[in-house]
Amino acid sequence: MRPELVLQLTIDGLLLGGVFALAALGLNVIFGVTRIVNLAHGNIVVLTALSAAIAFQRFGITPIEGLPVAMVGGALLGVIIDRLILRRLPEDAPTAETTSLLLTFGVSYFLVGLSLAIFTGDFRSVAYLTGSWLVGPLSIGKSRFLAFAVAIVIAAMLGVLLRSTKIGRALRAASQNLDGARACGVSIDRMRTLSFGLGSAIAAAAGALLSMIYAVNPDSGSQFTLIAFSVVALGGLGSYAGALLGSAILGLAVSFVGFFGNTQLGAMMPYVVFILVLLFRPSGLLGKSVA
Amino acid sequence: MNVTSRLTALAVCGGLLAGVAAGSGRAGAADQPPIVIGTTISQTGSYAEDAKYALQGYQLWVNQQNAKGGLLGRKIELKYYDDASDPATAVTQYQKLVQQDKVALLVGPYSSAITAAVANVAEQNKMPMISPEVSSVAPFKRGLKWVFQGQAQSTRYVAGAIDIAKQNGYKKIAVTGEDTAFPRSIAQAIPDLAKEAGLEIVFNELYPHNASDYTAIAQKIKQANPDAVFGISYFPDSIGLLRALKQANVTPKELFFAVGPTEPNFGKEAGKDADGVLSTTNWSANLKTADNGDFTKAFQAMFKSNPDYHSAANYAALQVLAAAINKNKSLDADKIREFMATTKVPTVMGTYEVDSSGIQVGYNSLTLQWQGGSQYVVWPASYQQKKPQLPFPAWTR
Repeated sequence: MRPELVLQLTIDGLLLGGVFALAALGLNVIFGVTRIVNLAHGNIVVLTALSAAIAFQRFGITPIEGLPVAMVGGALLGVIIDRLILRRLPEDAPTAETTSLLLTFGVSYFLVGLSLAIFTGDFRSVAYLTGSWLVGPLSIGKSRFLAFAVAIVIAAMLGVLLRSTKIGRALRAASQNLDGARACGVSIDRMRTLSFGLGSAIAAAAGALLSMIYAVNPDSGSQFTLIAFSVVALGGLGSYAGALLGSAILGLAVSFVGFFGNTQLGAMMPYVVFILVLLFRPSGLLGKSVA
Repeated sequence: MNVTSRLTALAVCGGLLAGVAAGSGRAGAADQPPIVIGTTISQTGSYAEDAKYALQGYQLWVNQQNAKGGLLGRKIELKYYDDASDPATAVTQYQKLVQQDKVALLVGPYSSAITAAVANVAEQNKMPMISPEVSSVAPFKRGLKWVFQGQAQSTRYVAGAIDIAKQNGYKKIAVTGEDTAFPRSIAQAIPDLAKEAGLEIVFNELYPHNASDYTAIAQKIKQANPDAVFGISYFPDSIGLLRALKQANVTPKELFFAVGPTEPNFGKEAGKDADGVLSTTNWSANLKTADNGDFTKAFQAMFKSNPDYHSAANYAALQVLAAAINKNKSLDADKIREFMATTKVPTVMGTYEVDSSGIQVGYNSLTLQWQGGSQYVVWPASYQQKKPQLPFPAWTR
């Protein structure tokens, strides 16, 4: 086997991992604080991707130029979803987790309907940065590299935010122990809303960037939710380093198995890994085990 | 006020609305009830977008024919149910059309899968049915007597791409596509067609529906180093494959995607990368087929949009049915069947002609190419709007 082929597949796998990470980081932020698995996450990704396509085709605004606006829009959407809907759940009810899951499922369907009404069922995509840099025999996709780089930057910024700022410490406190954090004067309500806003802003960033890689329509949301969920489960729910590691492993698995096995098998990898993790290491690679 | 209308007024007051409406209708309008043609259409579910165009083809023809006085001096009525893109639902609805609604004639539903399922209803009731949305020949291989294919065979979708490869000396072909019924039926036919043309298949692998990424398949195609890449892909996977091939710097001399780039939207979503891409269609507004110009204009006037090849095929199906009825001057099922099985009929799609299994041999596929942001027919030569531009241009970065 030629070394440049292995190198190319590794590059492809890592860049794909970046794409996966981008989809997954926001889901993790929300879960970390609220313990809510947001099944509408992929729909926010898709809603932004469709908006990015319209912005590009009608007004010539590239997804990179539109990134800040997209993230603000995503944050607002996240805050609205939390304040208007999820907030109304009694948080200490014994069925809170199931109910929140069903609610986000409902929100996801609502967002599909909303996207259909706004964007119709057409597939859209942004024809920008679709090429690649050629380095000797290797090719590095531009849009993929950008998604990869942004995923790393976002993960790093999250790390700094959580470790070195007051808000970050409050967020971490809320995710570790609700009652303890509350006793120390942390507003749990505010932390929840903050995490929804932050997580959805990252989902929106993902949508803007992924619009340059895939063609999506309003029905594509569940695919991104599934990928994000597999990544997060592999890396450990709530762990950011875990999410990066998980997405790198999945990206490499899809790339190598897709090449040496077949594409069918490659496409199955995220779900195979997901099931294996649940069976043998339910807390994920870097997750703290659930007592 | 005469006695009848006084009675009518009384009856309405008494709540016998339905009976009276039927009675007065008979007295006022034509002296014969309309000819009812039954079908189902996928108005919801995964086929809904394409099926919409198919239904509009039927509706346009019925509208036009009624304006001309209908058939055999009777008005025509199209009765259809929403089969929700589900074969089992469609079967129940076709049974209802025959047994309960007692429709005079049947025409086919949308998609190969649903046609395959409802064909049995037509067979059991000995009702002739022309089916304009079945491109797979598989249902006809099981010996149907009453069902006729009103769409070009799916294997013909790649005839142009193969001929173009042959003419230009592109020997090595890579084939990929979505692993579902329709793309698979085409992909499986390619090796034989390629062999006949003296071409070699150097790669042939399908990917699952909703595949998450196409990078691995692009790398494999690159390793196979083909002259031509044939993707049997719908819209989203055509875009996904195109991007993956570009980013992996795969540089075939011919790039063909069977159906995705047929949609006018492809140019908008794929941008400059669309240029040079070949695709396929079974109808074009510039075909010099029977009544084609009038068909296109009337369609635009009625629906404020352009027809696609589904609209044309459904319209053509009713052209054939009408020819059968007018020739025999009756709705006799045996006579209509005989006509459909043996007669060549000029339609907007071309010349309708079926073989002894009911498989369409008259209609052909055309090959399109994206050039400068628009689609042009480049194959066959007789319908050419522009000459094909080959080889496929180098990727602009």
